[in-house]
Amino acid sequence: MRREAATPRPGWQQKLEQLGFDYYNMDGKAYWTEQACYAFTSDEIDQLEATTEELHGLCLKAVEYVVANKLWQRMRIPPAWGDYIEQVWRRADPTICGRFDFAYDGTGPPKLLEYNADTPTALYEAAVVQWHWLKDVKPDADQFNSIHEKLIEAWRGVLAKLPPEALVHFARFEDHPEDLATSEYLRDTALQAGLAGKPIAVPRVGWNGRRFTDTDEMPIQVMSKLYPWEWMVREEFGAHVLTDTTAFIEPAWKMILSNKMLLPLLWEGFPGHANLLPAFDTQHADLGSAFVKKPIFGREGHNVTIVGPGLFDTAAGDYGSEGYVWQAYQPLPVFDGNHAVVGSWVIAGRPAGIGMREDERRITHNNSRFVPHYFEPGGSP
Amino acid sequence: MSRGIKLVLMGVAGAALLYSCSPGIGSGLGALPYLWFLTNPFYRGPAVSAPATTPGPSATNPDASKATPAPSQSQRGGFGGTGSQGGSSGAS
Repeated sequence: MRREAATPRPGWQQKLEQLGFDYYNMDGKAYWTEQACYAFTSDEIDQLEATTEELHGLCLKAVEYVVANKLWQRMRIPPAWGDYIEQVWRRADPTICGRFDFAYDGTGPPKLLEYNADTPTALYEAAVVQWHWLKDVKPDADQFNSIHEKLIEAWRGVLAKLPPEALVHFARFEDHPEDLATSEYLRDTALQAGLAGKPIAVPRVGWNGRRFTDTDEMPIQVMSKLYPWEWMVREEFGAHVLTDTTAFIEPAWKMILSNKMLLPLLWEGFPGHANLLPAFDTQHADLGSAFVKKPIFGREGHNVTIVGPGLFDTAAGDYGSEGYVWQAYQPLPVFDGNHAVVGSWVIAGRPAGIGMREDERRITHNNSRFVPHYFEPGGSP
Repeated sequence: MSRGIKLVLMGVAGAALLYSCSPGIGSGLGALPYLWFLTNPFYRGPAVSAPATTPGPSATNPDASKATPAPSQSQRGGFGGTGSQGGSSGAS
């Protein structure tokens, strides 16, 4: 694995805009860069794929453990939601996607940092934008990326559980370009799978006393939402979810996987696993000399603190009221001053591809740059 | 439980069961989108609870008019408050 300097394509901004990827700058900084790319060997890609499959399997066991033992208090999930989560879990309400974040430098095993299992973004960039870059810049190389095909396949799986006329509503915040693009891309793949999709802004979702409704007063049967479960739980309409009159994608059992308490649970269940870092719900001696403190319901790197000998970094935010978990510190590899993190996509429970993010800081956040990647099939890059 | 209520419940459950098993019947009901589901579409058990529909009498439930009427306009804004306040949508 290495970071290579690359020459941006002539007119690269227009190329991105033609794809509808118009947020390549965010908050005055480059969000997409093609002045560099990450190169992998096929063995490294195989390792990332196998790790993703392995860890998703462990995560499903963790969900079963939480549900079977009703660990709602530990997960900071209101007990009233326990029966509902168990119901959708036992019913196997379908999942479309999630994204692991790994620390990986190509030498040791990938280490799980967290699982963005509920509202993952950077999806369109990983599935489509970097694929077009590959075809333009490295046409003879390959990319770990079957995200698009697997998304369509995943939606076909959803369609199989629904009547042919079913309509999926796609709820998102429309003034967040990345969210809008992610949700619209999900809608596009659903359409390609044969489903009908209708957009709606999260605050415009209605409740008519019996059903969630859209702005045309049409009942919402299935809602693909890009809005965190833990926020929905505590908001005014949250209790209506428990009537189970609407299906949600991602389903409510993903609340267990997007919860940072998952990290100590995994370490308890599979201590010493090569892809896990020691993690605890208290500051524990086994953390070693350096650790990362993460809010249980944290997002986008907010309120994360890294502490170690000669090491301190922290990100401000409004999270942490539900408590924290502590995870042993695994340094991200640094290339040309950039801390690189691997985002590994899980589509309908299967590994589907990666997206590389990098940042000058140790804490990856929402605006950390997306960098395309490639690998040479059957050999080193 | 009166015979009439039992018949209504049997009718509702039967329609749901038939619908869940037969795409052909589902196609027929497609013309009545508000009658598609009485519950979460991933739920495959018999539906015996009161149908959840938009306002107006239900063709499958003659007693629907006696149930608590839903408001003609949905209440909105019950989701999104956290995201609106923090300047972040929470997606990551």
